[in-house]
Amino acid sequence: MNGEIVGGWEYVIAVYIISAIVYAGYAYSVLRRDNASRSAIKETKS
Amino acid sequence: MGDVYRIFYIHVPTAWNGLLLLTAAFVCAIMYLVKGDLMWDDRLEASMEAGVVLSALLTIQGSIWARPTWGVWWNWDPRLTTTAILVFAFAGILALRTSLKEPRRRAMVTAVATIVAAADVPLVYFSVRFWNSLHQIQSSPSTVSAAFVWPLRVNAIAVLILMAGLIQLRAETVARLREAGSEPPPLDEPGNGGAAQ
Repeated sequence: MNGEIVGGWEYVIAVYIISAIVYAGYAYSVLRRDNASRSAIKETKS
Repeated sequence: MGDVYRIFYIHVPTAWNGLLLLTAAFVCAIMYLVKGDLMWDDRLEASMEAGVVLSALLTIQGSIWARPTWGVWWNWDPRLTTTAILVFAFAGILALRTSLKEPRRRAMVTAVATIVAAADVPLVYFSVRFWNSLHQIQSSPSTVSAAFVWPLRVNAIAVLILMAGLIQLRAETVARLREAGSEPPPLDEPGNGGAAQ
């Protein structure tokens, strides 16, 4: 017992996967809403 | 700490940027109240939305890290509690915005609510010094090992660049919708990439 946590890679992997999903998901959400707003305004004008 | 310390390299940059973006929202709120230009309200919404996403992610990362180090997923520790309050306060303001249709009234209510909620940002940062906390003190180049500094900086700058680009794009979208006087189109509408017909 020296205070060091043995193992724990499953927690590390979980955090990095969740973080990647959140960053990518938010980027996709922003891009999609931007595209949708452009299309909606274009439709309204035409 | 063993291998779980590697969570540090994503957790800390998320924390730095989350607090930075919510501080940016606070600055936008002040600027709106001073200048009265709705451009600042557009930027406020974009910064706040990104800040809420990062703060919520921060809470999830911290919870997962807490399990192997503290033995629990959650603890009502001052740092965790003030962060949870931060997430719910700013998410609540974003929800409140959707119920206000008139742009000037929406901007004013949002600015005032943002200034009130932003009081929690320094509390989150300094909570580990103000109160006894399970959480370690703030991580900064002066408090971590020299070997950690550059990986932390690189990750923090990468997250900042990504979020700055997304905030710019989101602010343009919000401004476009406001100027068109239209509601955000539903994303699940078929035909034109999700736009309302």
